[in-house]
Amino acid sequence: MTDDDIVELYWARSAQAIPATDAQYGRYCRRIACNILRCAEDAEECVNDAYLAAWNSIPPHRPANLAAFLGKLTRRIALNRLNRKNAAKRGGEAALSIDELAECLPAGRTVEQEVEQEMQAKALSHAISRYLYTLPREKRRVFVCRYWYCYSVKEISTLFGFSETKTANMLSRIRSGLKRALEKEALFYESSE
Amino acid sequence: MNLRNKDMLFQAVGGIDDAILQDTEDFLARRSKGSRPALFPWKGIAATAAAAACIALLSVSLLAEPAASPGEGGAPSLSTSPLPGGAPPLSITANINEIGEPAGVTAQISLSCEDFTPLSYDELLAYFGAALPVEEALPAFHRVPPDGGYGVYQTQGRGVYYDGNSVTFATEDGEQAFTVTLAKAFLHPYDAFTLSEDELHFTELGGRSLALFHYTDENGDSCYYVEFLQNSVGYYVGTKNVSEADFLRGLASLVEESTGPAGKTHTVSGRVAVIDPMAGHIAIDLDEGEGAASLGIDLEPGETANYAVGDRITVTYAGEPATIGRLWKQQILQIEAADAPAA
Repeated sequence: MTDDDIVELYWARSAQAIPATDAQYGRYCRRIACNILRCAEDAEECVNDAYLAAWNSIPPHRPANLAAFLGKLTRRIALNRLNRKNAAKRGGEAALSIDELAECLPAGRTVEQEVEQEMQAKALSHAISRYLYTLPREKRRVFVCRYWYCYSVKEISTLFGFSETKTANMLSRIRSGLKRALEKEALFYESSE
Repeated sequence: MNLRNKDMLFQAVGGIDDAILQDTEDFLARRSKGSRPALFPWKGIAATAAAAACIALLSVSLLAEPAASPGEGGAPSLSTSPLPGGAPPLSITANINEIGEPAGVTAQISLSCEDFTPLSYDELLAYFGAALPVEEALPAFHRVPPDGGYGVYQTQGRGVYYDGNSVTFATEDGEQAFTVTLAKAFLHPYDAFTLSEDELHFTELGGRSLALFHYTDENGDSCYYVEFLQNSVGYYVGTKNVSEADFLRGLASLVEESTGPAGKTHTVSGRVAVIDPMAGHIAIDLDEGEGAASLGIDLEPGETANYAVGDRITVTYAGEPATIGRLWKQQILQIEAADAPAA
């Protein structure tokens, strides 16, 4: 079944839409959720929530890339779940990778509170994409594995055949480059503090 | 740094381009099928092929094993081995490009053990129409017989569909190795090189301009690497712990005097056949008489938007394609629209 066929099932409000999605992308979504939540049970619930979100947004939405659409939904829901779960005590690979990525925010600056977060995030997404396109493909993949899929440094080392030190150094250099790119695009305002 | 900013940044990463995600997902999907990165780039194809259990032993036998020790004793290799007959040292001005250790290369090719046809060393050389006089150029190095022998994969219907064979020459102690991988039925595509500077240098050798590379592998071993096309055969040459002088000497023994067009720059024309905006890459089908069927061209990010499939272009570039069938962006001098070829 093609992506277009699956999307048509959603548009037709067919009960087969969810099973078809699960058959095609269940494993993919579970991997994303598991990497973030590190708990199979939570991941399963998260994937079900992602399917529900897909059901609620198609129609009117017609995703051009169903895999990316589902992956982004799953990731966002998993992160929200993680935030709720660890409101007091944050942990897991996602929390670690969030902290690492925070180095990319220019020091002494903060996002203006009044600006809508979603608009900011969208502008940031475009800036990050632009930066990633300047990287060699391998580095781009390493970045995505770490900060999108939330793979651990050790897991990335295994995936790419690198030593952990090499992976960590590569990520560090990518983050430095991203920080410079974000500063150059002047996405952040001077801190009012 | 407040938490809200950190979370926003992480949320923003969630919105990166679909194409970037798709590329990584494709990579992860391939990895999950069992292919592993190769230590040496020219092992990539065979390493992937080894994922098919049925042919694991045979395919592994095709791999170069540079550290294999042929026996005890023997004189240690001289890092600047004299040429036979007391010939003067080679006079080559080497411009080596420093690169990061090449990552594994994935390419899917299914091999069946039933299709394997063993070849003797002489038959292998005859098959490729190649001479590998490395032992003459580097007397301290001797050919290491591969565990499973040389051979090709062929069927009656397809003919030879895979013929990558690695021939390793190593010192007695196995510490130094010079490996030549030959292929012509399936040329290994590699795009996993990271230059340490944004300039590509070429070395003049036998009338040819080749891009030579050096990197340090994860074990700290010094490695040289070059690949080039000669008489329609792909030569992938890699070394381990071999001095630059010996690498050049061994390489010079392999490179035939060029009969192609002289000069350090070349121009080809063809029609754009493939555009990959995410990879910043296009491929062109070359006009007849250009000596090859197609050529990949790496471009700066965003430059692919200047081209459409079917466009005719003329490409002027420095040196030879840095890797077989592929021009690196650092060697592109000019790309311009071309007229249709004369009928």
